Amino acid sequence: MFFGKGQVYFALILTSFLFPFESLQSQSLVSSIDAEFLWSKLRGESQVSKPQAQSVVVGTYRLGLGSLIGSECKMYPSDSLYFGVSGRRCGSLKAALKSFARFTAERDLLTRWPSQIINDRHIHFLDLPKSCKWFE
Amino acid sequence: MMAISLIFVFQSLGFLCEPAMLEAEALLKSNQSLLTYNLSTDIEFNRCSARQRSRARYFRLLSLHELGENRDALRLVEGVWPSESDHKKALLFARVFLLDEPTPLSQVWKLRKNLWSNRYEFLTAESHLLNLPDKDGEIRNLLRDLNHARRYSPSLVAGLSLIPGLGQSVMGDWSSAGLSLLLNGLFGYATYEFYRKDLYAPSVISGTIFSITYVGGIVQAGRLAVAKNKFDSQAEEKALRQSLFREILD
Repeated sequence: MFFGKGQVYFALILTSFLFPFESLQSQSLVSSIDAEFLWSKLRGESQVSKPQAQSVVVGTYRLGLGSLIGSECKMYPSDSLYFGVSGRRCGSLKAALKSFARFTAERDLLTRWPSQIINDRHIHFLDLPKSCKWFE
Repeated sequence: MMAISLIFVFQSLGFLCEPAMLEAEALLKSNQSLLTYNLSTDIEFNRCSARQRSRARYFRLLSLHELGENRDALRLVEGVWPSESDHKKALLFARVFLLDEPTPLSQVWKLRKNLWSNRYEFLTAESHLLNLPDKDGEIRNLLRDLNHARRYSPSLVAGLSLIPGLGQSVMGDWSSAGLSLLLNGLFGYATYEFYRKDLYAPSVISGTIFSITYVGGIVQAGRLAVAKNKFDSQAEEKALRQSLFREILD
């Protein structure tokens, strides 16, 4: 053994500065109270305008498959809820494609997502279906 | 009981207004818009001085705008303000941030507003800057930094993703690139194989999934570009906004 335990710990502490927690330090924290307010407003607006097929699809998923596999979604709102509201606002096809894009890009999005919230004692990444533009 | 009574006495005499004002200001600065709104409303309808009530009303205006409640914000501007100077400031705020149509603004404010709305087009924004006082080139530098930080063109990256995974890999998003390539390869190949073996129903199903993964991959690349641009430029954007509109944002 070349190094003692103490030396290894010391080296680990020193080198830990080379790998800062970038995702936690550099992203801006958004008020979760504001986020909840904006989200409930979007949900309310879309429910008033069109209670449609997306609700059935999302409801079925959440009660069936979703409850079985559990939700590990890091985004806020979750992908299924995003699809539901986005579908009522922008149409099913666009919502499906945007939700798919959101779901598959989650891993890369999280390292550089502009706004974080603390919800349910966990950090989540805020992405509200405010716009119907393809890339927003 | 004694403490509660004292609080009521202090509140009715307006002693708690100043700490509440400081708290509201701190909440506003930490982007807690809804809490700022609630606290400012309490201050405004309490026994505070006219200056404090007017300032609280201005905080309400700023927080409403942050929450995207622009119609309510406009209604607030139109109401009665305890202080004339704050009312003027609120009117200016409304003309700059809440109203889109041509509004009566001085030349300097018009230029600032135009510069802000064209901030992502450096040359257009710079042309507005020519007639704008810019101490030590601060605004120009911020504008340059902002445009420099927004590195990716969403439409270009999306275009590159016509070849699955290429747009994502240009941005260094290897996980998304790999997943896009894998899903498109899988469903594209499955569709082809089903079709080749005359299995039309599975071929249609697989083809439908393939079209979602293919177009979804293009959308994904565009969204990643937008998110990255926003993330990389948020500090510069905030600084530019503050620098341009300091008088009405403080």
